Amino acid sequence: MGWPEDPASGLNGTNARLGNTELDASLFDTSWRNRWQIDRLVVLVRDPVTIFIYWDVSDSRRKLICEHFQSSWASLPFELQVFDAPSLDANHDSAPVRRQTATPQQTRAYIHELAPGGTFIVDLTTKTIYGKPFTILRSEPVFTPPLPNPQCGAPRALFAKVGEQRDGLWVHGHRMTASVATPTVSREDPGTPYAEQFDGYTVRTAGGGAKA
Amino acid sequence: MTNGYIALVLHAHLPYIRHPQEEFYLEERWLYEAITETYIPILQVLKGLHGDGIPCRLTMSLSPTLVTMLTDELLQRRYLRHLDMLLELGEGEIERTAAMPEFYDTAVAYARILHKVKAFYLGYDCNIVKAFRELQDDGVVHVITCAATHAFLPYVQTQGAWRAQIASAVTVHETHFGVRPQGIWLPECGFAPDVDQVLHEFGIDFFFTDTHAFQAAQPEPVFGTLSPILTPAGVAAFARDAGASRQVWSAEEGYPGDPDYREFYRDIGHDLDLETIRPYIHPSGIRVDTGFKYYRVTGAGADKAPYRFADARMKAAQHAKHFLDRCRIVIDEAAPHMGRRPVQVATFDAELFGHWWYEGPVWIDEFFRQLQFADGAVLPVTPPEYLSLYDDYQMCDLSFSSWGRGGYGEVWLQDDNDWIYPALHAAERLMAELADRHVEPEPLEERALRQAARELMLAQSSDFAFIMDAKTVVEYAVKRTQQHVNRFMRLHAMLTSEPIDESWLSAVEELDRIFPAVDYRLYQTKRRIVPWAAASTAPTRYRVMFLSWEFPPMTVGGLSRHVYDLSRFLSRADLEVHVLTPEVEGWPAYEVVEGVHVHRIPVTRPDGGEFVHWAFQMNLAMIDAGRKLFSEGLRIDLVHAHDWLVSYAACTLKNEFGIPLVATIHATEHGRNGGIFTDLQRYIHHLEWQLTYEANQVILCSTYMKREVEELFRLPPEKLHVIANGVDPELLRTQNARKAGDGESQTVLFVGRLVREKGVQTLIEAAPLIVAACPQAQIAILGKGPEMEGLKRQAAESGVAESVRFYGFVSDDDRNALLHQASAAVFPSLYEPFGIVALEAMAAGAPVVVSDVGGLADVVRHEETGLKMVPDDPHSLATQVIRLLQQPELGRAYAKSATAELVFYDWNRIARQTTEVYRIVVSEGVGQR
Repeated sequence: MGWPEDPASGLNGTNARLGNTELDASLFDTSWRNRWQIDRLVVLVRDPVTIFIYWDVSDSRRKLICEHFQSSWASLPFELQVFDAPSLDANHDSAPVRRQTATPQQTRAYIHELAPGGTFIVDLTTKTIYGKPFTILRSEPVFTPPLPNPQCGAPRALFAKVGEQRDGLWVHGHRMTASVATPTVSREDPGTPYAEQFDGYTVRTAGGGAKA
Repeated sequence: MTNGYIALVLHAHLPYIRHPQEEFYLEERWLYEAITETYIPILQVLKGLHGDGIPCRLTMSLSPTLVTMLTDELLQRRYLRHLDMLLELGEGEIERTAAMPEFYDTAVAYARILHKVKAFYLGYDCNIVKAFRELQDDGVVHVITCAATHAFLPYVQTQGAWRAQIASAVTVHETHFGVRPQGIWLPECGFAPDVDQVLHEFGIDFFFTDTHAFQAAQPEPVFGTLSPILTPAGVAAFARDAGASRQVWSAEEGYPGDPDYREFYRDIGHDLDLETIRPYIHPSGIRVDTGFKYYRVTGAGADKAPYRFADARMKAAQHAKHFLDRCRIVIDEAAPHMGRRPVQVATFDAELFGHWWYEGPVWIDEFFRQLQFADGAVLPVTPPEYLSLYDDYQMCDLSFSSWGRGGYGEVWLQDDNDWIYPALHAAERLMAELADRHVEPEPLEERALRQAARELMLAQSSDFAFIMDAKTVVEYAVKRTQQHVNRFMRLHAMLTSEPIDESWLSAVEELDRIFPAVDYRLYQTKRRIVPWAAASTAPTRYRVMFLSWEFPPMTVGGLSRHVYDLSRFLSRADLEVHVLTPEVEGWPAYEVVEGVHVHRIPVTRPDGGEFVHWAFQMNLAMIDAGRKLFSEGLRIDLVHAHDWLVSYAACTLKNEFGIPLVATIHATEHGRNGGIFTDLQRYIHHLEWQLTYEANQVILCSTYMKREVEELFRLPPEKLHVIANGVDPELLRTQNARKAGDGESQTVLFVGRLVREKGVQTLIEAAPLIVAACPQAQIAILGKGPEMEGLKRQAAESGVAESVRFYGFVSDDDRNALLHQASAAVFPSLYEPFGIVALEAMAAGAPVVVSDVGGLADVVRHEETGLKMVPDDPHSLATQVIRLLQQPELGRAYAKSATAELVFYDWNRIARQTTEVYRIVVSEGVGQR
C-alpha cells in the first residue's frame, strides 16, 4: 500500500462495547496525518547502500521560504543533496556526493547505491535565481554499515572484563560531537560572513536583489 | 574432555493482541495456538528433561508483551474456552475418523495431547509464566527479556524511547521472574550503535546479533562468531551461528521440510466442509487453522500421505544427532586455534518449534538427551555461564544489523510500511516534551502520561511493520498502528490543550492494559546536559531573548557593542538575558559572558551564496534554536530583536509561541540610502516594516530615528520609545594613555567602518586644508571596510598620503589609547542614526567634531560639548578641526563638558529605561505558550 491519505474521518468501531459501556468511537480512530508541522529531515539507513529520507516542512517555514524567495512553494525547485559528512565537516562548501530531484509535494525518498561504511548528511535544498543551492532542512549524520567481510585484514584485538567500559577504542563512523571551546578573550578580528556584500550598513549584491 | 559449548536460544514473542471489546477476535488465536502448540509442549519437554536429570541449559527470551498476555486474566479465560472447544473438536475427530484407520490413531493422539495441555495449563492456574519461572529457579532454563513491545530499535529515534523500551522490559521481567534479566533479545536482532549504552544503563549483560554483524565488526573479532565480543559499553554480544540456523530455517536444507514431518498447510479447518467445521472456526465463518492436521510433508506435490507420530519422532531424533554432529565438527576444528573453548550459538524463534515445525519440541528433547549421553566434548551452556569462563573478551564496535531479510532494515522499511515512521518519530518527540513538561503531575495527569507512553510503545511494535511487509493481515497491522498513534495524540492533546476526559482515559486504559508500572519519565530529555539550566534557576525580573546578527567577538558596526553592553547591564539589573547570535569559528556554542547567556548558532551552508540568503538562513537557524531552547524548558518573557536581519526569526518566535516582541531599529535602509531604489533595498525595507509592525514596542536610539521610523512605517507614536545608546567609560580606559598635545604631533582621529555613509571621504578631502594650517597634524583612520582602497587613493591623489594613516582593524586597547591622545576625533557621517563612536570618543576625553546629522546632532551641543560641521562639507570640517588643533584649551573644555554629560548615556540608566519598555509589553498580558 502507499501512504494513507489524511481522511476526513477514520472513525470506526462505533458499536464497540466494554461490558455495558459503549465505547467512544474516537478510541478506534484510524485517520492518519502525513504532515506534522515539524521542520525535520530524517534519514533512516535501510542497508549498507540504501537510505530512506522523509521530511516535513512546517507551514510556517514554507511561508518564510516562499516570502524570502518570492515564489509559491509549488514553483520552487527542490533537490535532495547527500554529503559525505567528514568532507562537509572539513569544508562547508564541499560538493554533495549525490543529488536527487524532489517535487514540491514529495515528502520521502530512497537513495540507493551509496557507499557502505560511510557517514552521510542529507539536505533538502532549493535554488536561488543564480542557481546557488540553499539548504532548507538538514539531517543528522547517519552511518551506513560496512559490508560484512570475513576476509578483512589483520585484526586489532583488545580484551576487557564484562561490564567494563572503554572510550576511544574505535570510532564507528563520524561523530558530530560539538566541541565547546574554552571562552577566551580574542583580540583578533574573527571575520564576518559575506563581508564583501554587507559592511554592517549596506547590502551589496551582484544581482542587486533578494529574489531566488 | 570438553572442547566447546553450544548455546540453544529460543525467542518467544507475540505482539500485544487483546481486544476486550469483542468476544472472538480473530488475531487473539495467535496466542492460543502458540500456547497449545509451542509454549506448553516446550515446557513439558523441559520438565521432562529436568525430571530425568538431564542437564538442560536452554536460554529463552519471553517478550514483555507475551508475558503480559500470558498473565492476563481475560486472555486466560478465553484460552480455556478455546482449549475446551479444541477438546470437543478432538472428541468429534475420534468419532469422525473411527472408520479411517490411516487417521484414527492421529486423532486419538491429538485428543490425548490436548488433555495433557489442559491439565498442564490448569496445573499452573492458567498462568504458564509460573512454569517458566519454576524452571528458571530450578536452573533448567535461563529466561531473558526483550524490548517492551518488540520495537525495532534501529528505527526508534530517541534515546528516551530506547530507554522506555528497555526499562519497561526489565520491570516486567523483575515482576514475573523475581530477578533482573541478565540478557536481552533485541527484537529482530536489530542492533544500532549506542543501543548498547542503554542496555548497560539498565544492567543488561548480553544480547544477540546475526552472524554478519560480527563479520562487519571493527576490529574484526579474532574468534569469529565462536566467542562473544564486548561492545564499548561493556555489554557482551553473541552472534548466531549461520550454519546451525540454516539447518533448521532453510526451506531447502532445513529439517522441518522432511517428508516424515507433519504438513503445516493441511488443516481440517480448511479441509473439512464448512458445516462440519463451523463451530470450531471463527463465528463469522472465516476458516482458521485448528491444529488438527493428518498429513505429512511427503513431497513437493499436492498428494500427501498420512502422518505417523512414531516416524516423525524417530526423524526428530536423527535430526538432533545430525545437528550435534555438525556442531561437534565446528567446535573440534576451532578449539585448538582459539586458546579457549568456542561456543556455538543457535538462535530460533520459539514459535517455530511446535507450531510451524510440529516435531520441534521433540527435537529439543532429543538435542539435550543426546548431548547428555555423548562424550562430553560439547556441552550445553547459557550465555552467562560462558561469560563466566574467561576474564576478558575482545572489544569491538558493531554497526547496524538485523536478522531480517537482507540482514538490515528492509523488512521494516519499504514502500508498504515506511509511512509509519514520521508519525512514530513525531510521537517520540511529543512524548519527550510531555515528560519534560510534567515533572510533578497531578494523579489524573500521571495516568494520562503513563497511557501515552503505553500507546507509543504499542505503536512501535515491529510486528505491525513486519506484517505490512509480509502482506498477511495488513489491514489489522495498519489499523493497530493508526489507532495507537491516534490514542497517543488524543492523550497528548488532553495533556497540553484540552481537559482530561477521565472516562475516555479509563476506556483506553482497559483496552491497552499493559505495563502497569510504566515510567513516563524515562522519556525525559537529559536536562543535566543543558548548560544554561543551572544558571537559569535564579529569581529574575524578566527573561529576555536577544536576537542579534552580531555579538562579540564578531563586530561589524556599532550593533555588536550595543547588544553586548545592553545585555550585560540588563543582566546586572537582575534580568536573565539569552543572546542568540551566529556562531564564530573558535568560539564556544554556549558561554556565559558577564551574566549573559550567549548561544552561538551554526548557520547551515549551502546558504545561497549571497549575504541576504545567508541572513535568511541565520533566521531559520535562530528559529530552530529558539524552538529547541523552549523545548528544553527555557521560558522567556519577551524577545528583543535588533534590526531587520533578525526580522523573520523574531516574528516567527513571537507568533509561534505567543511571546511579546520588542524591536530596536538602529538604522533604516531608507535612511542609509536616502531612499528606496532597488529590489534589494525594497526587500530590506519590507523586513524593517514587518519587524516594527509585529513588535509590541519599538525602541529607537534618537529623536531623529523616531521621526524617521514614525514617518516611514506609519507607526503609532505610543509604540515608539527613544532610548539613547550608552557608553561604558570602564571599557575606554587604557594603560597607554598620553595626553593630547604631549607630543609634537597632533592626531585627528576617525573611528568607524570605511563606508560612504561615515563620510571619511569628507575628512580626506579636508586633510590638505588641515595639514596646511597645522603641519603637525596626523590623520589616523581606524577601521576597515569596502571603501578603504578608494580612500587611500583619494589621500594619495590629494598629496596627503604621508599625513593620513590607515590602521585597519585595531584592538579595543589600541583604539582607546589613540582616543585618549587624540587632539580631535572626527565623525563626518552623512547618515548616522546615533553615532556610538562619537560618544565613546567623548568618554575617552577626546574633543569631537561631528556632522550635524541624525543622532550625532542629539549627542553633541555645538561649542559646549564639541563642535558640529555641515555634513559633506570639507571646508566646514577643516574649519572646526583647525579650531581644536590651534586652541587645545578649547578642546579640553569641550571634552570636560562632554564628560559631565555622559550620565545621560550611562548603561545603568539605559538598562532601566529598557526594562520599563519590557514592563509595558509584559504587562499587556501576552505570555509564552
